[in-house]
Amino acid sequence: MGIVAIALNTFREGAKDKIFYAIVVFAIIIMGSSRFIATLSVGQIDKITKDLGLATISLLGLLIAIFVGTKLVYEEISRRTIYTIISKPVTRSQFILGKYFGLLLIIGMTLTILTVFFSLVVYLNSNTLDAHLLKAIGLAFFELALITSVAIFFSTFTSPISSALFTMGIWVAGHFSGDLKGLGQISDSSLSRGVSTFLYYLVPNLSNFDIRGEVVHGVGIPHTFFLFSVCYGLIYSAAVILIATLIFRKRDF
Amino acid sequence: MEVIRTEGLTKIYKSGLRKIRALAGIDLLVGQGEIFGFLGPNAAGKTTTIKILMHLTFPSSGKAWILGSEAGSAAVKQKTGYLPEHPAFYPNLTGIELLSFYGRLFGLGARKNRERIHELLSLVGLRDAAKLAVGSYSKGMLQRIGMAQSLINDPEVVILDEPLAGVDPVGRKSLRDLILRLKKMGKSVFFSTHILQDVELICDRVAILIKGGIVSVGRLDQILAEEIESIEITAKNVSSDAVKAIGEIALNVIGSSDKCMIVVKDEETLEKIQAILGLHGGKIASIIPRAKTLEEHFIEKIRE
Amino acid sequence: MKSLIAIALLASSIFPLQKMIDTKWRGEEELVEELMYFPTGNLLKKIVLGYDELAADLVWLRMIQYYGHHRQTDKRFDYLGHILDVLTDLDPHFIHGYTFGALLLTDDGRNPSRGLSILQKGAVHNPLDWRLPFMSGFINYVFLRDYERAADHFVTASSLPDAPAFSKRFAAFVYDRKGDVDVSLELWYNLYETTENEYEKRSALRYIKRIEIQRLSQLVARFREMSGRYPTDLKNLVTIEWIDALPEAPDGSSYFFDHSDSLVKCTE
Repeated sequence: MGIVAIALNTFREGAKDKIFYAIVVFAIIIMGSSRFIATLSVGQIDKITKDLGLATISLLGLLIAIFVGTKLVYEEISRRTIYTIISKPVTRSQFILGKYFGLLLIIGMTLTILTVFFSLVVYLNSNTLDAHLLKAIGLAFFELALITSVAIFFSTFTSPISSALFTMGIWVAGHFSGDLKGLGQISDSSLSRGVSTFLYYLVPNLSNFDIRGEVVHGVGIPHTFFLFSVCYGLIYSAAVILIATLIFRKRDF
Repeated sequence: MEVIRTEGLTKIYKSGLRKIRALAGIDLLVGQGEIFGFLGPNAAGKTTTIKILMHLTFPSSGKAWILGSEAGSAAVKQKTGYLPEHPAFYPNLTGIELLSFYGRLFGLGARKNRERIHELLSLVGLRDAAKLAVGSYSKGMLQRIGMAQSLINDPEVVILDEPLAGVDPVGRKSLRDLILRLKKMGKSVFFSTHILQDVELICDRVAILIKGGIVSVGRLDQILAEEIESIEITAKNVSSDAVKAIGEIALNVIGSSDKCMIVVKDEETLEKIQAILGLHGGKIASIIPRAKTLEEHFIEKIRE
Repeated sequence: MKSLIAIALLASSIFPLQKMIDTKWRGEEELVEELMYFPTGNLLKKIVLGYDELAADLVWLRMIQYYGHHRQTDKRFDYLGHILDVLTDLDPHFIHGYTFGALLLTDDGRNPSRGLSILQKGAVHNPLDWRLPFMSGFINYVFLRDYERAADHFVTASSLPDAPAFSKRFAAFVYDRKGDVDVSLELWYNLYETTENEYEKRSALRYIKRIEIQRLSQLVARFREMSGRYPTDLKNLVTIEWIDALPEAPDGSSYFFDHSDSLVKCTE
């Protein structure tokens, strides 16, 4: 199908992009460096290694989602490689979906490589492997799927730099969403309460995907929470991509 | 059966507060098995028309049909081949990978895909470069791989935007031959260009697009036959009075009283010359009408 | 060639320049002053955009530097409490932050009540973790000599999930042998053996030696009382069966009697 062909092609193109290699190497260096601060960490090498590794994985995944995602669609249009694609029996929606899934493949592969390395470092430091760490990385992937959908959404109608800024803005707002909710509850005027509450539900609540602390400290995560968060990610991403396809369908090239 | 039809195709671009009319009501008809040349100077609206046909751009008003169905439907795209102007392809893919990708977009199975790619690479002469990355291709090679991808689905109608631009003379010849071959295979070809020679050499019918409007359309020989550029008259023993009178109405007079060549604009002036010669003396040796070349016709239309 | 020389010269002048900047204008206090700009850890939480635990690790590393620096200089740890508050606000499940922090505040910081309140904060966020009430019991027994409270804490600790056997033993000890120095010694030995934190190990070792020396000194004093002279060697105390064996410090050093100043000492 068109979506699969475009997705695989996007993956192949992206995997050859030099930025991807730079990011992976950078992440490996950071995670590897945790071995060297062992002496300073006063017995906390385990925790620091895990915290650093999980943060690195999620942050570098974020970089890929934003920097590759925002130029993905834009470049096809500006370089006009899209001409020979849309003129074939491929709908504009299929094109966007193909690009999206292709980028998710790239992110998935990056996370897998980094997770393997991460597990190696954790094993070297503590001689055990904790399967729960994978849960944290799994949720991080769904967070990235969400941010990627936002990046592609912006990429359908604005330049890569603006898209990147807007997407980063949404990411930051997503971490403050709890405060939006709080604001909504304490404010006096019903208008500002309404606006805050509306914004709270509109902006993606990214803390749903953050179980790093729980995982590192061995605090259990209820299965239902995990499941609901995954669903939240899927539904939100689907909605944003759908809006992106609607915008894209009206575009002249 | 018409393979391409447009009715009142209009495209208006908004640039800030200004409106730019790129196309002003284009009516086109391309018949089965024709090679149709879409001629026009740069920025006439040729590419815009083609983009509308290929569903890349939406018309402000008017409609287009290909093979009887509305342009842009999946069924139509399945039977159409398209080569854009200055084609751009994913630079990291090899020629084979690129064609394979496009084949998959048409839903070609793996084996059929491989066969087609094989055929096409031979057809366009890229067998040797097939395993090289497309990013390293020269302009000529890009045009050729572009032609290959436009044919991968064995389309009934092939639409090419400036296919011969920037290609060297040898390449031009082989591309022209390819187009003629497509016609022999029963396909219809619609291509835009601003190079007149290509049109003269291979087109059955031609439309001239200037500033978003079609100014002439029809069979090439018919268009040119309508236009007589000038008439050359060779005359002998022309008296000096006659020479003076002739000089006032002719475009050019070369030669002496014994034998001179008179160039006049049209038949009306020819009759006047004949009258003058009859009156003042002189004999007409030959009359040769010269038809306009396409170039002259084209330039005149632009000036209008 | 000339540009290479220029680059080498510039690069080599960067090091001494930075060194000069560091010594003249930036002291170690800078390390911690940044944290003072945050009245609470919750404000810092906002800035780190979800990477709370990693930020806590950075605060932890800063805290170690702060502690190390002041232990070697003025032995004042005025900001320690605040740093620990920021640390535990960022990562409320960082148990070792509470326990180590409480120990530092109590021992070096000489502020046991601050130490205990940090442990209480920890217990609020981690009601099922045995290590927090255990450390409360530890501090109450060893530093505050509040044996009743210590006992209560040990009992609480031992009733929590995954509590190790020794927590029950200490609960029992404390009820039976209030004030007994043996229990303190046991507690310090326990800490020495179970911790991976070298600061805690060092503190435990220090206290173990101090208590052992104290014990041996009491025996030496009794010996002198009864015999009118000092024992020639501490091993004699074993011979006369006042102790089963001469204790050895966990780091391998041994206790001996220094005749020059008549004191029990340790070889390291």
